[in-house]
Amino acid sequence: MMKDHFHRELEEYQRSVEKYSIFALNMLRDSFDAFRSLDREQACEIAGGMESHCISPGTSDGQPEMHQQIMVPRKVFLGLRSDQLEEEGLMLIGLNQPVARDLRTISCCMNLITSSERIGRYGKDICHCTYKLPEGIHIQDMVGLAEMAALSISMLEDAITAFRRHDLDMIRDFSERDDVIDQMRYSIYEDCIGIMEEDPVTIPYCATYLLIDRYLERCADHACKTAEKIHYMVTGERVDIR
Amino acid sequence: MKQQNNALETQALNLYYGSTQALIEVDIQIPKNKVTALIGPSGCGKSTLLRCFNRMNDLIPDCSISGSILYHGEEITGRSTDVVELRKRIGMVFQQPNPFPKSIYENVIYGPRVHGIKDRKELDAIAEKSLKGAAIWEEVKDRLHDAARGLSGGQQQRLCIARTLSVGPDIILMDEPCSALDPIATAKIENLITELKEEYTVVIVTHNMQQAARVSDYTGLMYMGRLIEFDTTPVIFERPKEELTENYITGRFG
Repeated sequence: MMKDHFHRELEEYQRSVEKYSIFALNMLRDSFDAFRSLDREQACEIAGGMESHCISPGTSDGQPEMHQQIMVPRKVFLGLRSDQLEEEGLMLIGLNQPVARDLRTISCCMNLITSSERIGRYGKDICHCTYKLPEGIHIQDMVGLAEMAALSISMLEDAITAFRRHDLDMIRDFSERDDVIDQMRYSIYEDCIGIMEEDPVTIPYCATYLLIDRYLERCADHACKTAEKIHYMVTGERVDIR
Repeated sequence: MKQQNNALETQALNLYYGSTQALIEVDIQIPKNKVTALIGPSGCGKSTLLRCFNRMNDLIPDCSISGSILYHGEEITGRSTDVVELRKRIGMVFQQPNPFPKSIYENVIYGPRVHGIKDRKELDAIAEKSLKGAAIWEEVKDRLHDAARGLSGGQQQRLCIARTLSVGPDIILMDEPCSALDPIATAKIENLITELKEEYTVVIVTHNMQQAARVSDYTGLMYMGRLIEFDTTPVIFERPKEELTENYITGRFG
């Protein structure tokens, strides 16, 4: 089948969006790992470490467009790249007036960009929690937070894979997985309250667990939202997941 | 009498130019007071289908058809159909604006006059109503007796629409009405089409996908003489069922 300039650009765009979503997911995963091992240095490095970002200074001086690489902290890159990808998506729509599958694809991409930015920022927030914690060790093996993180992250991974492969099988059980996340969140909440009531010294840690379990629950929610968009992109039909 | 919701309908319509078949088993229903767009690549039969609706193909030698064409439920393919009356009820606007080499006023009242109206006041009223209906009255009311050919392309096209309206049709067929116009004139015609459906049924053939998406309520995709898919316009442009439709509207054709 013939592939014109637009469809090549659209494929390129999907790859860029996928790459960005993986970047954001890695930020979340690495942040949680640093939190689990209470590695404050690592946490600082994840949020503040440098990332290469490509900017184009524009063509106002009449010169051909020049791309320039700059180094920015990861948390800054997250926002800059999100704006840049959103703009690329809008340009694709504005210049090509896509319809049907093509339009649904761009819509799905733009949604994934927004979700990814949020996910990356939850990662940054987890880093923040990590270096704010007083010295100490985890309480009761983090009351199940690691399992919850693993499940949330696996949903995000599967959503990204489904996005790349247009594969709905990867996201079919998302409702059930999201239910498990909700149950985990409730049980972590109950456990934390119980522990804090017994010994106020545990409050800094338990309160942090409560914060992070909220972040992880939001991440799973983003995975579900993304799954809905992928379903729409592939089939044109709306579904409600969760 | 049964209430007809379709202004036009074809059943198993086949059309041949000599031995070449241009329409194959076309079943289409054109809903009343809606805008229906026909899209498809050049030579797919959409203009041919449009011309069937007011028997314009009668003028082409060697053209023969089989099947049914119903206008408000009445068969119009037979010899007994009054073609002149039919074309009064089903008007047509073409790609190139084609005003007569006469004044603006004369262009609009040409039809009614041919149909026997002589009263000056009545003709004036028809001219005003038609020009208003075609959203061009304000631009020409002070120069009704100027030459129509002196108008811009977009104005000429709206004049042609006014000329169509002047004989009191209920269906307007448009064959690529904006292809020869600039974007501003195109926008005016598109706005007009949306207004026209209050009173008329509009069928438009267009190569401009976005135009079809903007102005129509229903869209049909034709390909190699067949009607491939017909549905409401949002469905066609958001989630068409046929792969052929998807490939055509997203430009993956060939």
